[in-house]
Amino acid sequence: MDELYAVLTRLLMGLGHLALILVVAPLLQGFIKKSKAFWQMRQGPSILQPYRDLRKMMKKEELISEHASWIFLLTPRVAFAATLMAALVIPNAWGWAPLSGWGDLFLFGASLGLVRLFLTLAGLEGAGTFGGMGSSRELFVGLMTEPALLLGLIVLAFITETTSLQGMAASLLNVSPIFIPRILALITLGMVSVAEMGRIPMDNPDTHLELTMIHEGMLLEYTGPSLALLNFSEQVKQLLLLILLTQIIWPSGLITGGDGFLGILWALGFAGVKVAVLGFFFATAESLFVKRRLFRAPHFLATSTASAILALVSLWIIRGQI
Amino acid sequence: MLGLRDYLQIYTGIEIIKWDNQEGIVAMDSQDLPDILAYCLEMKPRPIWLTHVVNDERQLGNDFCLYLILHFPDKDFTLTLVAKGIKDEFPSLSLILPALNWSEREAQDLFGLRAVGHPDPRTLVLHPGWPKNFHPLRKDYKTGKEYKSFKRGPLVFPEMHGEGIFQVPVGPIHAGIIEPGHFRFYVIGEPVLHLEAQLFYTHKGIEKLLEGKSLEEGLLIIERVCGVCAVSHGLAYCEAIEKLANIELPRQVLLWRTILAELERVYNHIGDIGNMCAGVGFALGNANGSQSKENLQRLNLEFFGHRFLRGMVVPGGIKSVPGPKDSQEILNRLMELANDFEDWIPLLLEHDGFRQRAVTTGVLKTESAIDLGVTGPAARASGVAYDWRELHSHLLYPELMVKSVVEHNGDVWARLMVRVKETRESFRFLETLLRKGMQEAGRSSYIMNTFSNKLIPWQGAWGCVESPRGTDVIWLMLDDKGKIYRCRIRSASYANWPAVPLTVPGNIVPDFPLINKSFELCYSCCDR
Repeated sequence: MDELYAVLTRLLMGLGHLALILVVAPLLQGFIKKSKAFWQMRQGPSILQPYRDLRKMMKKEELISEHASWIFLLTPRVAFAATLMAALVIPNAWGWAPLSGWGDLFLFGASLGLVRLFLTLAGLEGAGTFGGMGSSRELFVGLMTEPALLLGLIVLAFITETTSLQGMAASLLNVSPIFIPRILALITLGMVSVAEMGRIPMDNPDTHLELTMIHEGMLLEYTGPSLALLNFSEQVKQLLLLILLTQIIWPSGLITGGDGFLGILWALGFAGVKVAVLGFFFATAESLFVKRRLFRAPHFLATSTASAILALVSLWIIRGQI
Repeated sequence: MLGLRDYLQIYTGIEIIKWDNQEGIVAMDSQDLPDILAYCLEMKPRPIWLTHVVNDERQLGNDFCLYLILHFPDKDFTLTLVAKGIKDEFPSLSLILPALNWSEREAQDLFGLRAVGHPDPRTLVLHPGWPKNFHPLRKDYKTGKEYKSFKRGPLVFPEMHGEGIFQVPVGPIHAGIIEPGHFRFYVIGEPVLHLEAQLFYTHKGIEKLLEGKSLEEGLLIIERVCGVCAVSHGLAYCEAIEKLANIELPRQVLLWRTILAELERVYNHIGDIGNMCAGVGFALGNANGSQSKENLQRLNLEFFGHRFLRGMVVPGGIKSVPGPKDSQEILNRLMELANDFEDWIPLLLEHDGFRQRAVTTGVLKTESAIDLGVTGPAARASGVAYDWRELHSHLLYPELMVKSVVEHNGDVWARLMVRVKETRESFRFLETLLRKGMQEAGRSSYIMNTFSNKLIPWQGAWGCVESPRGTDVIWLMLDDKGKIYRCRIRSASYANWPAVPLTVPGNIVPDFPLINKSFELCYSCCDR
């Protein structure tokens, strides 16, 4: 009986974990938009606008290109499911992740990779030129972000001696915040996150210039509920990356039941503030920088990879072994 | 200019209709045009092409006539070459002066005349699908149900073959809210090999619409040819009328017309600078540009009654002149905005990322700019010191001692810098002009109603104004009832559009929006 109870609790907690992430993701998007509007001296749309947009798109008719195959319809679902998969390994406000065991970080990287694979295929589906251009650019960028993302996480795994993201967050509490490899890994992940979120200087999420699009280019043929799903998974992915970054900068340790209801609220507030601050930071960066020339993207991403390698080297020097 | 006159007289059948210090009108046989034009273009400094007009004068017994207007910058002399008696074809001049490419193709479409020897005789204004005998600018064509005979046909583009070469069609409907134009990129991966632009989706037949309209109605239409150069179009039109009526304007009118033209330049340039930021996703610069532009347009609305300054310039005068108190207020506000501009413009000029995108992007070579008759900031950024305000003495520009702002690299950055410097100059001019306006207080409006009986019918006259995008030329001919017989609008955008596709090859596809925005051309007044 006890075992069943434990499994049930775990299941419920897992569902709660996902629900929280799903509920908050559009809010973060709204907040980032609002922050950008602040820098642009505008009022900007309401912070709740992303929810309304999603609701609107869910109700709209879906148009499918006559050239599209089953991949076109499957992609939004796969992208959403894979993003949820990635969400399962990200430690939440309480420092707890539903899936925590060996190889979490690879699960995270692989889930994002799966999304990318299907998106780039779907970009070709509509037989439009912008989708194809978006796909080819996405692969070009992905070629450089994926290794950097994994390498950054692997450095953290070496520092904390665990490959579970939950374990990392917990162990990082005991690592000095100015531990050089940790800072370097953070730089790597920060830069990669910008690329993964499709933000300036790599891509422009607000652009209406179809010739410059990367992520938006692949979605150009989508309408209605499918577009809603894709946008929603993008928002979730953005939240996951920000949570991951905040957990590295300033981890919330695993809180136990003993902290009570207030403890839970406090942890939630703390995590919320951390994510909001980081979101504002990215919004600021996005307002201050311009989109780079596409062929200068490797410079940006090479810097992040180099930073990861430096982290590894410095860790080796400091520890004398890895 | 006497040398030219002597040269012209060796041709038989030449008739010098008018020849004074400023203006020459010479009629000739159309077969002599290529030689004479080639001779003119050899002169130093090279004359500038202003406009090319084809006119249906069959009811005057002249058959079709062709007017080609050249301006000789050192003498401020304008020469109109008139070829009368064109029946159904005329010799193409495009190979001698490539700037005439579009005008001649347009004449082929709208008049059904053939430009013999034109290197690219595809249709231009009329997209494939119009019936063969549809030539709306012929006088015997009655407008009405022409849309019924249109059957949409495929656009014609050159083909290109090779491994890895793709065609990327873009538009005419774009992802953003912009005007329609179809662009066909020939690419290998991201680098562009060739670009074809198909415009004229917003061809509204304005030149046909203007025929038979009174001068007042004409002004309303001309001011609405496009949304951004209302003063320039209106002013060029009024200048043409005033030339036909041969009237002198009071100094106050000239002064306030100059102020209006500069106000238009300032708000356009600042808006265009902001738009260039949007081309690279620089939200902060874009926001600042939009805000300054909005403030300037609100100023326009408050003191001149219209955000685009429409309705202020009228033939023979100016509708209302602000008093000294208002002038002071305008001046204060403008100086505030000029300071604001100086506050935010370093944000852009000292931005590494922006520089990196703009420098060496979309280079327009000096030779191309000259050959294609490019005007405005686009030409000046390519080292062509050609600013109508400096070249031709009109309005109060001689007093302001305008100097062309010239940059030499011809890239996006150069076009930005020309705009930035011209904005500063314009603020300075506005300050000088407004101070003059306060000292030389006059009446509160100048509207002349007595010139209508002085208008000369059946004679062509041009008006020419430096708009924010370049020189706008309006050519006007009236009939004996004082109605418009033919009005040709050669906007700056019309002159500059052919140059845009030349600047793109060698750049990558995502740079095109930035290049396009650095020209910031108008579709509406190009397509008309």
